[in-house]
Amino acid sequence: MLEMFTAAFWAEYGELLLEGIRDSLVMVSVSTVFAYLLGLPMGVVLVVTGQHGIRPNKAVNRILGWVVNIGRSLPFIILMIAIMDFTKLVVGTKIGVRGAIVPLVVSAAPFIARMVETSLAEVDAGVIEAAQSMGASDMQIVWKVYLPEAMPSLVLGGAISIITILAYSAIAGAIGAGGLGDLAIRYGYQRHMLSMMWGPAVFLVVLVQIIQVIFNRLSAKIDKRLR
Amino acid sequence: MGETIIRIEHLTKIFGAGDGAVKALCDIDLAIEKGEIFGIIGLSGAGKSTLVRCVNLLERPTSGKVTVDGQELTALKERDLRRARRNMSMIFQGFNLLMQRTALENICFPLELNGLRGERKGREKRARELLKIVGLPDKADAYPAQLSGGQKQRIAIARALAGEPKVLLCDEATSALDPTTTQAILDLLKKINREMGVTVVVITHEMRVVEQICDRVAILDGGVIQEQGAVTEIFTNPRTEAGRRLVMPGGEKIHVLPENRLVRLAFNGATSGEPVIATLAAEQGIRLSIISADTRAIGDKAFGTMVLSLPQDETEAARALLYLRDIPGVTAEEVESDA
Repeated sequence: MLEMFTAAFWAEYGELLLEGIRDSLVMVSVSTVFAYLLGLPMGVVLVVTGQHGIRPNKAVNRILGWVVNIGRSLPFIILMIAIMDFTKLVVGTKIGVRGAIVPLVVSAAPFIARMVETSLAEVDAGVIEAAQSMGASDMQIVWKVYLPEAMPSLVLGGAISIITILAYSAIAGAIGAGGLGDLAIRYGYQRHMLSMMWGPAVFLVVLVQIIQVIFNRLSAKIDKRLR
Repeated sequence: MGETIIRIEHLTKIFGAGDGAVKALCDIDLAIEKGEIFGIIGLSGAGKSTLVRCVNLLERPTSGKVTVDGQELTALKERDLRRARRNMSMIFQGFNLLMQRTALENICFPLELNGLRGERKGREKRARELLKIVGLPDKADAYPAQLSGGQKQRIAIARALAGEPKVLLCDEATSALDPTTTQAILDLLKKINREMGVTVVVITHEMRVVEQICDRVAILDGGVIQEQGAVTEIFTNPRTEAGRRLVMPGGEKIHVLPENRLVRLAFNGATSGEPVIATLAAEQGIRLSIISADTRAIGDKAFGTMVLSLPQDETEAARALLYLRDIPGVTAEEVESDA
């Protein structure tokens, strides 16, 4: 795999690698945004309708809990194949970067819902009660108490979610979704080009480290409890 | 008698159902007057926190009626209830400040909620005035984590006052604070009551809190109001077992000869405890025996209560009472013995 450090290798495969990186980043960032658009409200509803929530509702809480659990229990690769028709319906294709985004969102949203639920549950019940005693509505409690008070924890959860989506996106490479996972399978596995496997791997390791550090710092910076 | 601002009628609260049901409050009747400081005292588990939460309906009573400022809260719809709650505010043992907001932003919070009090600038101006009232004008930009317990409670009080409430509910507001800080917070509550005319309801398990700021008190035990009345009356002459348990330090029954008169001293930290009795003996030649005492010295200040038995000689007893009543920071009340 030492050929990785030669000019000839980069002349031949450089563009492919860069394209892979770009595809991966696009897949991950777009999926993360949409997964949060779905998962965040789901997490909020789970907390709000929970037994000790501000608007307990057994039926809603149970049904949503089931949906989330089903989503969480299906291995990504199975889910991806299982919902292919749905994917085609939504984005018009089953493959490529666009084809991967739909299963990534469907798979990550329940995961995010649970992460958000855990973060919000950490907010002191006394603070919620104080807001209620001041006549706050449920929406005001969500927007002005739950979310801002849980923000440092939500940010840390964000890092975990992004990294999980990154891992899933590599799996999506198995069905030709593009990105680094795709390269690793097509060149690294099928053609035994170790460089094409280790190159992306090293890049992913570095990327995960950077994401984690940035989010840790951001969380610490916005958290006013630590001073 | 003044005008009633909070009226509680036949209030009962039961938690759970069936075999696991717990009757937390039983047929409570209370009338709290406008402008007074009303104490609700009881040991832990007596139901006092539940009772105060029934006043602003954070807990919905199982049955009974709660009327605040002429509005029957128990009959209101959700939306109207939220509006009615803005007439009342509440402070807590754990302060319950928003940890990610500065002191100033915390005080602005209730004003943001009702959204009717002008723009950000106006809210901040009001918040700064309140910071002055609670004595922390320089802490506007501090986060709760940077404040001491007493300071946090002051911010919580400022926040509670922001919406110009008519009633301030205090749920064990000083129980997490040391005696000196407790004193300062009680003084502040008293000042707010006198200067702003806010009716204050104080929930506590500490006799000393009631003693120092309350006009009237209700003793809650086992979810039932055992007795209520003027503080001095209850303290000098508790009529019920629960009352005696709270008033008498240590909680034990006091057995003395019926001819012995008892005096109960309460120290509020303005003086030191033990020398009082020694000085009385040295200066007046009167010797009192300590029947029971529950005092704590913080620095050289004493907090707590003590029951002494007065000399049998009438004139000596009267002199001793006069002397004790003259000591700053000490309240001396004659009490009846159980015997």
